[in-house]
Amino acid sequence: MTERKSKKILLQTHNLVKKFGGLTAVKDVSLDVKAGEIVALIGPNGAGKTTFFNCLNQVTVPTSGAVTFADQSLVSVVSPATKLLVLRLSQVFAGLSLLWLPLVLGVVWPEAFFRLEAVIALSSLTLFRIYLLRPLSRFRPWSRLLLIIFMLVDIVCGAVWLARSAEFSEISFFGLFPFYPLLVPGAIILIAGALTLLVMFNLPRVREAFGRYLRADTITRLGMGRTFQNIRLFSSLSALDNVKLGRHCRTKANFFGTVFCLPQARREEQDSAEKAAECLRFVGLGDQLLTRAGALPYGDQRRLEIARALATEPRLLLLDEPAAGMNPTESRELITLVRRISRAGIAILIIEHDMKVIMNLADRIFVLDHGELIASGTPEAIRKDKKVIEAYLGAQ
Amino acid sequence: MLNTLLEQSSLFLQQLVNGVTLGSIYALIAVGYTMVYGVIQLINFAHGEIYMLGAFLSFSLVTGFFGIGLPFGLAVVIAVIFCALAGVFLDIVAYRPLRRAPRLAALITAIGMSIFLQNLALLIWGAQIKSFPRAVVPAFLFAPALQFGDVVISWLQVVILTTAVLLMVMLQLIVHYTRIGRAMRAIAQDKTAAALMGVNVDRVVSYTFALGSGLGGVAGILVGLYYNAVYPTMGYFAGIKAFAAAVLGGIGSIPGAILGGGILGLAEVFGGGYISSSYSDGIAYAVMILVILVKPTGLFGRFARDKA
Repeated sequence: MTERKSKKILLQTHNLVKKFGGLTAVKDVSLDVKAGEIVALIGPNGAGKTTFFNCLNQVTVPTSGAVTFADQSLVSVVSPATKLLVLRLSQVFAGLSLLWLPLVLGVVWPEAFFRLEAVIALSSLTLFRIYLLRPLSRFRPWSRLLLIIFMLVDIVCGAVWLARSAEFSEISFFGLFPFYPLLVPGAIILIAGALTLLVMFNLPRVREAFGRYLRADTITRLGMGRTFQNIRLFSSLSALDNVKLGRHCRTKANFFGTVFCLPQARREEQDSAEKAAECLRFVGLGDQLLTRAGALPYGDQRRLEIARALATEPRLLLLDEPAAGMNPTESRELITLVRRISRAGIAILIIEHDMKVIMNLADRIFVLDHGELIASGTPEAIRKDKKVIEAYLGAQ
Repeated sequence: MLNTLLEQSSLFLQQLVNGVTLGSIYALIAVGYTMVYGVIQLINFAHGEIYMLGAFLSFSLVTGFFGIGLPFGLAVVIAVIFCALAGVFLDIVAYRPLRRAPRLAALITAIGMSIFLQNLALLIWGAQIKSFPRAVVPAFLFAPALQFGDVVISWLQVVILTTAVLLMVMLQLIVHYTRIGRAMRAIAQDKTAAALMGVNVDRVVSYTFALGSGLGGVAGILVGLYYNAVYPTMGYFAGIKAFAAAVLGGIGSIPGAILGGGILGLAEVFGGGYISSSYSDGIAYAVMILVILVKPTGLFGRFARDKA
């Protein structure tokens, strides 16, 4: 079956790692999904399958490793050591730069330094800088720019202090010692700032180190749809509205358009209603358009989730235990449904415990155990794999 | 005997009209609280200040405080748009960095922003109570629209009521039948799932702030005209009362906020009219407390969902 499908790789992960504190939930997982393929990810409970899904669409940020989806890098390869170095540098610098404001005020306007207003202003500005004390990867692009500006300002100030430190040598701090110490923090800030800035201006490398900032919804727009292990429908919305929500990222009517019902927005709304109804018919819920999602039977809710994910026009569909809690008839229906989705050209990565579903559907299977990939291959190979049997049944 | 009965009933009718007017204003403000709460579970205490800004801005634009006096209608539109933008700005500057922080942090920030905006208004416009000069406001607003016996309904009251009703209907339509409204309802239920379905959560939250703040601005303008008084702390009192209205109706529910606003307005006016005018606020809050005692989630409130 695989032979006649195109071999273009759609999703590839490379040494993906996710740590929660001391626990490594996903450890060096490298796998790939080709366009149009059905790939299964199996493993005992707690093997890190769902965490792996969450890493793919940025619900959780992977600790290290790379994810490439549709030729776009979602998280990039860089050795954790490099990443840590850049991170620590920027943190050290951000921490040191907290000295900046009290210092500059103490020097420029010593008598104001001890006034209440000055203290309040200082502490609030300092607080703002504490807010900057986060890993750079957590910043959006615009606030990274802000950070760079801050650093530039700091470096200029550090330089100015160094140049003028002699002028202020006679000012005493609290009447105790001369303000010579200005020299030291000035120099530290200058050096640390310059170092960080040097690293940061090497932008491609920095972008590599921190990954691109991609929100979950951006990734969905790139074409990665998913369903959830524990159903997460918008239960008070109707089935149709749930699916129409999936159309959200494929429509673009802006605020004014929707508020004032401009023709373009109305056309879009109509269009998304039609497409949503089509998706619902596709999964066999064509007669339940207006039922509240929470009122649907369990199996239908599962199918509604699939319809909602399909409405986002995915190229890759991540199915997280779609057959969980289904009876044999329902899971047989699910198998045909997944087949039909696959035939529409959508690649599928499926997590499942129901072996009948897996063996029926999957072109290839990857097996996770304790976050590690222990086996991969065709269903036949996996069925006979010793490690897999051990993981599921325990060592003999 | 008949005379007193007539007098009584006309007093009652007059109070009813006043109460409904006041209630519709509370409802307009309360909707802003409830929408934001529904979407990001934050009680935006600075919402009252947006309402105050609406009043001040329309006042300033109309009287030429900033240099040029604009026609009344244009000033109102600009003030409302500015309020909507101020709401978005508030969200981006104060609340968005705290989206993942404990809820208390955002709440304290909201109180901080409220105090900040109040003092900003104090700085710009001063502490004195401002009133709209009669010359710049369309004259018909103060003329009676309906008069039977002693009951007088002014055009202003009619305008307030119709504006409030129209805006509420529009809001319901937006929330239930548009792309943005659908996204708002989805985010209210499950932010992560909404994001994974391709909804830009931050943008939709901004739209929510824009809508709520716009309505708050309208309320501010209407109140500024109704009481003919605009002052920096007006947002504080109205804000607290509208918040009470939102809680009374079940916070997070838009119909609840509308009903809650109406009940609070009526309670205040009737309490003031029949019991004691100095206790009118107290009576309004007492009604709220009674409702909350019987139904802690408010009239239309749902039980708190488990945090997903």
